[in-house]
Amino acid sequence: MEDQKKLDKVLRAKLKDFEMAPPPMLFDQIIKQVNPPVQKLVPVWYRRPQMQRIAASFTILAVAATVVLSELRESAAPATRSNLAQFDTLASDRRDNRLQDLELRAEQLASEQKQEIKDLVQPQAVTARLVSVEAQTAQPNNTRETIEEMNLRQLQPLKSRTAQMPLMAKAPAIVQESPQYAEGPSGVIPALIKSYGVLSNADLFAIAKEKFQDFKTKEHYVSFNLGSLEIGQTIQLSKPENLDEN
Amino acid sequence: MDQHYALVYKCLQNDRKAQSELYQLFAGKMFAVCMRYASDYDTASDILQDGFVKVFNALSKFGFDGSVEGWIRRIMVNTAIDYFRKASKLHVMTDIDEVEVADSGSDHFLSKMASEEIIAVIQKLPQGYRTVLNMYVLEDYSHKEISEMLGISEGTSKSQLARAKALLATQLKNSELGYGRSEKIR
Repeated sequence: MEDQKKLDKVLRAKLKDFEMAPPPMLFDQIIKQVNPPVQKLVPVWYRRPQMQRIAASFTILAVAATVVLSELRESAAPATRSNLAQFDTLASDRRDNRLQDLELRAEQLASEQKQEIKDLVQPQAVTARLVSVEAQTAQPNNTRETIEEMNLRQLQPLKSRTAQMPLMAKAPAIVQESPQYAEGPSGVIPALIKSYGVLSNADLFAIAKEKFQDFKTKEHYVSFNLGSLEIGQTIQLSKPENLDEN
Repeated sequence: MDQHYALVYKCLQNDRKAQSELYQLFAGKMFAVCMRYASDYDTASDILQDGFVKVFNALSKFGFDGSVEGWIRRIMVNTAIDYFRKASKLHVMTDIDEVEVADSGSDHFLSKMASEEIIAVIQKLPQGYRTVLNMYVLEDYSHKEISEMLGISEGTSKSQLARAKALLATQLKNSELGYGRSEKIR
């Protein structure tokens, strides 16, 4: 028993902390197993040849489908265009009809008012007279001053003026000076313009130009509000240059 | 606190340098352990490699409550046991009644031998003997622990140890005689 213990003791002394040189390069193999290198992401069709064939056939199918679809769209396009053209025609017909109705109505109104004016006003007053409110209230109807007279008397100090006139209408319109710019004593000066029988905006501008001839000075700025009184539509036009050119 | 805990922390952060340092620190001792359990150099290398892979992979399970060396040594021993269990090389069947008594005076021969020579003699023992001898004498496992780890009875563990020692003594004597002869010739 003693011999056994001695043997154990000697074995421990000789081997317990004994070291031996491990095989070279073993650590590299261990580390490869512990931290395996990250594999690059390779598409499956690169790894498997049969997948390449499948991918190629998918590509061909996709290209073919694109071509067929684009051709189908092309063939469908003329029908759509013709539909649009048809729609445009219908819309323009409706618009023309509506315009005709409006013109007829305007003519009707104009003729009625013309008759009334004939009954009420002198023939020379029918041809464009702008009369101030002040003048209307202060003076009797039959002695309304003309626009030229009004300009000379009150509107010359104004630096900006606005005329509201009918758009493509033969109905009476209001020509109005902008009150905020008025430096004169009268302020707002509306005036009733009798029917001129005008047919277009160009005609209206021509009339305005004639009527506001005296405003065409360096100090004055003239703009026009053109609108049909009957339908309550107003279009702002600020074209003093056009007026100057015309 | 073990002086190697900081190194283990670094290894846990996949610090390659720390992993290398840990390996360099314990590889020599652990290779000697593997050489004692294995029958040859290549098998010992395989066990060392598998053992260190387990060590690095299981570092997160280290409890930081004992010595790092002891923990690594246990892993190496378990790896060696697993290695031979898988290879079905563990043959520990002898009963305690059949144990032969080791010759006296073997410690005398042993003390004269170099560690490498002793390991070479141990490697010549049968796998079962060698395993029990290593576990009981050098790793300080009890027979109960050995029996549980190897799946044998305590009696078998004891008999294997006695046989291992007897055989070792015989082999040591033979190597001593050879050594003596070679001395005389010289």
